[in-house]
Amino acid sequence: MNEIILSTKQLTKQYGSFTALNEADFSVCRGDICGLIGRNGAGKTTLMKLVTGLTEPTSGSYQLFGKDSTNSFLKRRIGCLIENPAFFGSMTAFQNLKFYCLQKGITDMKKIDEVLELVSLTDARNKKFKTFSLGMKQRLGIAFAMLDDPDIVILDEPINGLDPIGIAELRDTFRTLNRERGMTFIISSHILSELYAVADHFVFIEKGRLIKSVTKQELDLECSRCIVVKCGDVKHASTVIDSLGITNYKVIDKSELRIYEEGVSAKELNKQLVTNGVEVEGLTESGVSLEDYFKQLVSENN
Amino acid sequence: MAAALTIMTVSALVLLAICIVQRKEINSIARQLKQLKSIETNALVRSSSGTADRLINEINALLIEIRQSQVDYNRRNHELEQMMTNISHDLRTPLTSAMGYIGMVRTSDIPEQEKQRELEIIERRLVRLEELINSFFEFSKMISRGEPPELEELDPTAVLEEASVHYFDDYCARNRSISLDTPRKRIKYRSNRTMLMRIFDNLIGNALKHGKGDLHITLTEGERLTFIFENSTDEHIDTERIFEEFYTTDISRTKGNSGLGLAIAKQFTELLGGSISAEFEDEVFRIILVL
Amino acid sequence: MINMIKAELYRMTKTKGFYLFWGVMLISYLITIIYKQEGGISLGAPIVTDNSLKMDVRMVSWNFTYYYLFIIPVFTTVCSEFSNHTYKNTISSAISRKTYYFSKYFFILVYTLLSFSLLNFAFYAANRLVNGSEYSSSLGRFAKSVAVQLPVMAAIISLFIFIAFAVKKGAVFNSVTIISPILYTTLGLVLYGIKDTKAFAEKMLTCEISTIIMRVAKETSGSFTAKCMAGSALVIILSALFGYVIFTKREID
Repeated sequence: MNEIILSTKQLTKQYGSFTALNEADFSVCRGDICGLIGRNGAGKTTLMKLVTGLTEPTSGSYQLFGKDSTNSFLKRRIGCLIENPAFFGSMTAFQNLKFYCLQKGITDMKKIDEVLELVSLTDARNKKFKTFSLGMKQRLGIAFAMLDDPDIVILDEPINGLDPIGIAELRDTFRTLNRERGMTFIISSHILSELYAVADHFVFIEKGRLIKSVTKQELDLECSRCIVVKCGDVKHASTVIDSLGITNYKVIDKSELRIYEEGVSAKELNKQLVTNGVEVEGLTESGVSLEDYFKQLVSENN
Repeated sequence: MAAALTIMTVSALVLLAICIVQRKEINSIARQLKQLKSIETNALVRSSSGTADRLINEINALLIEIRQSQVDYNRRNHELEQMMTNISHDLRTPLTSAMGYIGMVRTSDIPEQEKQRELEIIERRLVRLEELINSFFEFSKMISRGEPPELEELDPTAVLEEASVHYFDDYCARNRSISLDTPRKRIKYRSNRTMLMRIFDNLIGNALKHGKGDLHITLTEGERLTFIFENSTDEHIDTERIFEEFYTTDISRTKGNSGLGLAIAKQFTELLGGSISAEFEDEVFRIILVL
Repeated sequence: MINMIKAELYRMTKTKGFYLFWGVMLISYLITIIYKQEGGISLGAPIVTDNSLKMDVRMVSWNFTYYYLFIIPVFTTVCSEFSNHTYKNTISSAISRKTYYFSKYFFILVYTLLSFSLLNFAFYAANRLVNGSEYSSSLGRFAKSVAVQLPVMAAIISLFIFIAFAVKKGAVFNSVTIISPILYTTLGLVLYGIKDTKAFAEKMLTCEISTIIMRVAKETSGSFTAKCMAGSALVIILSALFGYVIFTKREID
């Protein structure tokens, strides 16, 4: 199916006695937008540093584009922003990016303006980096990650410090690039709701361990809030539900219905069903919010 | 003397260095191109010493062009596949209908007149099938060559009336009717007859399947031609998504819908340079077609 | 590697240090030419007052000034990458630590040695033009003095690069490099004052850096010069090696 563009096998990193990443097995397919979610200090940054070569693993291995060795050609296909965006304060945005263009051998200087426009920093082109706000610094970091036409973009909490409009713009940019240029994204955050809107594959990490990996559909299924009705006569129940004006529901089998419609009160529903002669055997609410889902995962793991 | 000698040696060395560097650069470009060819990537050729920048820029421009054509090619292939699915759906409909009538004719306890009538209907359905197959080839030609639709002068009212006649029996059988409100005078309009017919067919058929009560069609002539197809319905409709392929309003009940009718209508409308939109309010469903 | 060098050059021209480096030397030479008197920074080295040597060669013996100026390119090229954390931008994209280290090393060495030679010869040409042969020696003599100082300068720079990669923090680097010669001389003088260590101190003081610079410019050959050349070579090799090991084997953060 889709080529696996990055995979790790039992990747471990220890700083002295502290294990930052513990036997991580993780893989990303080409064209994915993968969200890496974990609390502060869970190991997201460590994982990213390992796969970009900023630090060496204590044990385990990883493969990029199906190859073990990281020659410079493979490394070029990764663009990344890890930890705080780092640039030279006394140079302008344009000069900073030009410095890296020269370093990487990028011959077309128009690329700089192109990439600044992608992150809406065209106005700040000639402003010194030390005058930048946090959001602008972050955006320059993202611009830098995309400078060399990468195939994988690895971003460490890129949403930090951005206002809601900035976040929405960035989200659109990521989706467009993913669709039009086939860029694979690995984005980490500790805010699940933000990543939810962007990613289609989620990996949860806690205390250096990868605790779960789900696609967006699976996540939706596990989180979706619904009222589960168990009764003897599903047909009768569905007529009653129809008459209440509820349309977003599904007949699961001969004895179960699930109502996904929002704003339906379980109490009211129960009353209506019973009054209309439906023998309700059980009525429960299921489903969780994203944040609760994450909390559950973390506490299960501990 | 010694000075001249040193200067000459130094210049010779410098020239040698430049030659070596250039040679390395060319080799590096060749190597990179070889690597780039064999994989799917966004990466472009990079310089390693800056001695052949103009060459690299030209090569990169070519690479970008090639990749863009690949993307376009894939997209068109995909569109073609979709068009095939849509058309096969269109072919299936009259065929199924004809088969249904054949079944009815088979049952011997209906009067001869009735049988004759039904045979006529079957014939009509099959004629339509033939028309559709012809237009299928016409369209596949048009799409693969990217040609714009052939336009002829026609009267849209006449086309509309003909389409309504196709469904007359079906509506009657359900005690429903189609009412047309069109301008009295003949309208001269350049369009493609077959495509227009298909659009109307699909819209009327859609109202048949999903609506209740009578279908009202209005045609107003202004700067552009505006058609409004209005009927009441008791289904809940998401006007944002109804033109998507395979979208149906059935989450729970199965009705055997393919969800393609409106998608085809939209595709054809846009090919003719028009636009289509839907409104849904108080159980009244309206499709607005502007050509 | 050439790409990295181009990039470094581009960045250097955007820093204040770059202009300081050239500015200070140009002004110093200007003053020397105008007042027809050599001068510069020294740390108690025996000043060359030998009148058989013309002013320009005597000026070359004052090249210890460059010691302090060389701190600037090393600081800009190495230390600021660590203080701004921008090294991770380079390392995570396409360049291995080995290439990174050697490109920086090579760039700094070539840049400083070239600037050193350029400035010295520019001074020679300007001085000869303005002040005539009364104050200027033959090209060969001048060139010999400069040439003999090159390995010493290279050794200084190599050491600086090693220190920069070892300590990383700009402030620490500055303190170490600026203060060490002063400390060395002070130590030497103190030990000289004590009877027991007098002989040792004498030896120490002959190895003091500004002294070396002065003497080799004056002598340009002989056993002392040869010993200095050998010593410089050793320092270069060792510092390059240790710098490489320190940078590639440690965690950078």
